[in-house]
Amino acid sequence: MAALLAGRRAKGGDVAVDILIAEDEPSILESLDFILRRAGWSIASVTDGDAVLSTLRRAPPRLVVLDVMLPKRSGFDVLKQIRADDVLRELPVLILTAKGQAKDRRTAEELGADGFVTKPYANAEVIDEVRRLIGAVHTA
Amino acid sequence: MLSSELVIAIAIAYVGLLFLIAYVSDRRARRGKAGFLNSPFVYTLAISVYCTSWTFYGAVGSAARSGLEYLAIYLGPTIVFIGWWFILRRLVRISHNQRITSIADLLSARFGKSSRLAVLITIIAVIGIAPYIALQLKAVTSSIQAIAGVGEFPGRTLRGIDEVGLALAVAAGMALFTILFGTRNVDAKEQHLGVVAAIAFEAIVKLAALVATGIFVVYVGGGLQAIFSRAEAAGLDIYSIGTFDDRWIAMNVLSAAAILCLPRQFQITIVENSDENHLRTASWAFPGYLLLMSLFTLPIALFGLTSMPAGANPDMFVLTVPLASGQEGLALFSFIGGFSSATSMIIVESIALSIMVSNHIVMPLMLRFTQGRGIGRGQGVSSLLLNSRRFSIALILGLGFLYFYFTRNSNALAPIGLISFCGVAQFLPSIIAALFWREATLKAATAAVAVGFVVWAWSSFMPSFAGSSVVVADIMAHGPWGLTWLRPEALFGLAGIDPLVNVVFWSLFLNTATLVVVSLLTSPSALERVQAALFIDLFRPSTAGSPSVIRGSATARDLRFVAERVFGPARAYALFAGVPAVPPPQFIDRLERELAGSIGAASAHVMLSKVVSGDAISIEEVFEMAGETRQAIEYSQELERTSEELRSTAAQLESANLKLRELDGQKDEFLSQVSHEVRTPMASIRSFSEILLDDDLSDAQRRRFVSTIHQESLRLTKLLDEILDLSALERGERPWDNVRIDAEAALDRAIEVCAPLAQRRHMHIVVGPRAGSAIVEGDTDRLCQVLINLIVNAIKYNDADTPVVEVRSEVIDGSFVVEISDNGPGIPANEAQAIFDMFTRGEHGRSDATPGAGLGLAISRKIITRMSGALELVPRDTRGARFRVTLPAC
Amino acid sequence: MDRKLISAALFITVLGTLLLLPPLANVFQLQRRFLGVPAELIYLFACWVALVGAAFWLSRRLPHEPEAEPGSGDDG
Repeated sequence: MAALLAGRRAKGGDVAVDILIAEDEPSILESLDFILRRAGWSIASVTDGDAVLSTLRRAPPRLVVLDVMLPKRSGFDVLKQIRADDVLRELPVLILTAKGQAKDRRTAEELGADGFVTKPYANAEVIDEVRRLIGAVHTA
Repeated sequence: MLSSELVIAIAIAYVGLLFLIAYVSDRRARRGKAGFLNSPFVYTLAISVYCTSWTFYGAVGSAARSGLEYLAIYLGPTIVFIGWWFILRRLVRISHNQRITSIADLLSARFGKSSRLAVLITIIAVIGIAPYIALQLKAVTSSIQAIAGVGEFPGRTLRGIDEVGLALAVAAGMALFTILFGTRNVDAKEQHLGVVAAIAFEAIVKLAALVATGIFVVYVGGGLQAIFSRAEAAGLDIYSIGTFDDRWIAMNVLSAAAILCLPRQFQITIVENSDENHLRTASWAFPGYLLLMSLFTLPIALFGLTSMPAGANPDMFVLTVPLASGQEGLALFSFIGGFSSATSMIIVESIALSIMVSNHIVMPLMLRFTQGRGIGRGQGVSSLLLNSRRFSIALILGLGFLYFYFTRNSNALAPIGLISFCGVAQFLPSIIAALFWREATLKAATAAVAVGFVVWAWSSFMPSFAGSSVVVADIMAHGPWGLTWLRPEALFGLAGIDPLVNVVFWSLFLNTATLVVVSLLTSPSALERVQAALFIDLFRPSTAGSPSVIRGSATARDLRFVAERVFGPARAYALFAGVPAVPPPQFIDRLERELAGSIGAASAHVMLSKVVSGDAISIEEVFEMAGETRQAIEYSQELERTSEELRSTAAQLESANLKLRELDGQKDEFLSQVSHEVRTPMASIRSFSEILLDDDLSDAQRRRFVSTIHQESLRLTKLLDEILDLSALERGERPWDNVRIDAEAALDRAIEVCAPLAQRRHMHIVVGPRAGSAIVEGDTDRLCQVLINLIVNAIKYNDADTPVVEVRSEVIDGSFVVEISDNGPGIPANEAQAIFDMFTRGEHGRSDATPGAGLGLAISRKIITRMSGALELVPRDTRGARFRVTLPAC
Repeated sequence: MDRKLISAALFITVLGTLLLLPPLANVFQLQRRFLGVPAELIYLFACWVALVGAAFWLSRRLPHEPEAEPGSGDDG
């Protein structure tokens, strides 16, 4: 894992991580950071929509956990940008939403999200989804 | 004594002046500076072309011979103009809509754009007007003779030129003058502003001359009383005993018909009309003009009869009375007035007739001759039209001269005019039917006009040649082949009545009867039915545009080819700007109307049909599609109305539905927001609870997570409290007593509470000018809650690079006002009202703001309202939102 | 109101016609003179002046209707 991390150095000099979390609620960010780190992944985080894209371009992670209700640029908007970007197009995205409406899930699917988790979530649920997505990328 | 050379020189100079007026007016109009030329009074004066030499010279003669009878010629038109709303207005509207160019065009258009009817009308008009032209030639000739002092002498020659030679010279001069005047170009619509201006000028000259002569006569005669008394003493019938008889009625009918049917009157009143409202002015001004023209007629006649030598021609009293008093200047003015009335009539009448001849006879003949193929070749339709008009003018004046020549032995002017009146009156029944009777058919109108014409020709036109033809004289006396019941002036044995009454009665009776009977026996074609609807339902909506009856696949190039030949390249270019290669039917329709304005409805129709489809168009086919009958048209109008109602109902439903959906959406949005607000702290609580269930945590971690759970629980509680608070406020529960409180203290506290939040966000609350102290009726805690809410919002939603929140307060006009402003994203105008609603907060999914519960503003507004104050969003030009709380100060 | 005015216009037109024709016109065949002028002449001119006045009055009150554009709706 260390070797792998060492090998994934991006141009900007930042260390590329496994997962980028985009979430503006501090307590939720903290909980996600804790459980995902504990599961063994390296984590970076941002708290607004604009920051997601700039961070992704500088050092693309293996997965983005994206909250829908983000300041400056909504999660859906960010997702759209990712899917339209030549470099980032294949990046797995896990959508996180507190609204829990079927409509949001549909929107997410249409925009090409790879996973969808509703708040409040079970920790295991998040970890399973992340594992499924990152694992899938590895085996492919 | 005035020399004949001087008189003729003055007449020619006067013509030159007219030409100048026409030229200048045309130029002004062309440069778009028509100005006063477009005034209703110029229009009215032009209509006064009705007053010809007949009025100027003949009315006095008529009054001298038959007393008040001359007035009938002016009372008929007066009635028609008083009732302008019912007939003239319709004619003007129709002619504008359909680009009617003449009376023949009008009837042709109404009866299915029939070219045959147009030809018939044209021929009748040309023949019928010939006596009228002759009247003018005779009047001008006589007036030149009278003023030069040759008329009353036995030799009757003027420097070796006899009456006939003089009349020929006058006719030739007039023809030349009219050709120069009226056929310089082919207009889109047959309007001749220059000519109208000249005619209006002549109308003023003739009125002034006649009134001047009248005043002079009254003055010389020692006043009206003296004139009438002298006449009575001389044994004249000043009371016009027996005037109001059948002849009076017949003349009134004829003059009323003439004002509508005379080609020149139709030309000026209907075709040259540029604004329907001009008719409004003419409705009283033209009768007024006629009144002034008639005012002195009887006094002049009576004075002439008593003061002039026996045997003097009463038709020339207007000239000879001033001459006899040695007033040569006035006589000359009178001569110019009479010359004006003759020239204006000849100019307008021959222009109107020439348009009819060229549009309805020459053009169709050419179309038939060339089978439509030659349209594009040669010099083009435009110059052909002009040449045919020039030829027509010469022909018309020639016919007038011939009539003059053959009837030169009869003396009086007025009876000649009545012959023409009766001739054109034959159009009246068809015109009235065209305007008001849907069932009138083409066959009926054609037959009716023809029958009326034959009766007129037999009983009115032919008898005028009795003096020059033995055969005619014999027929007059014994009837043809001895059939006495066919004697022209006692038709069908109806003897013992006035010849005029005889012809007016029989011609109009048989004409009308034919029209009605044939209409009842025949049925109109589809196109006739459509045109009838357009004429009769004129003022109903949705009939303004005529349905397209020419269909087919002409290219714009073909059509343009035709249009260029008629209009010339410049106008065609303008007309075809932006027209696609295969023009839509509407365009062809419009082109037909434009063409109709230049060459008449029938010719335009034939011409376009040939170009468009190459074969005879099947109008019937088109109307089978449209539903064929008149009822179908009405039905479709009904349908249109109904579907219009349906459309509006549907639109209303649509908007109602939209509102409902919006409301629904708002409720949805609110629930979704509440859901979000509840789920967010719940997410933390659940996640950290699960984490805490694991054992391998440090105490510090454990404490931290428990504290987070605690905070999130508080947040959740607060949210639930807010919802409850709001619903309680909604229902009017949890009241508080409004007491006198210091609002400034509440504001201080609110700023204090929010300061730490601002600091955390690296921003500053700028406290602006303050009221210092303000006592209001309210509840300190509640007011504080509102202010905190506003300041927190201003902080939380502020995404500016250097975020600033400004708080200021003051007391104005007995109100305490707090304003809280930020330089954040602001609130779009369309949401300004919605943000105070319970179920909304800003635009959904707002990406640039940390979401709140969306209830704060709704609660705040309710609280402030309870304190008799107002909470509002103040529109501002700069970035950011500004909320204002206003409370009545004690 | 407009309808009444149009009815008034029709009435004035018909009345004018009747006044100027027999038998009504014959009522004024008095063979008398007023201020030296025969009565029938005064009568006819008085009717005439009244009709001009009525037409003037009507012309300012009769409704103004917008003139239907002949090409409206099909010039596109």
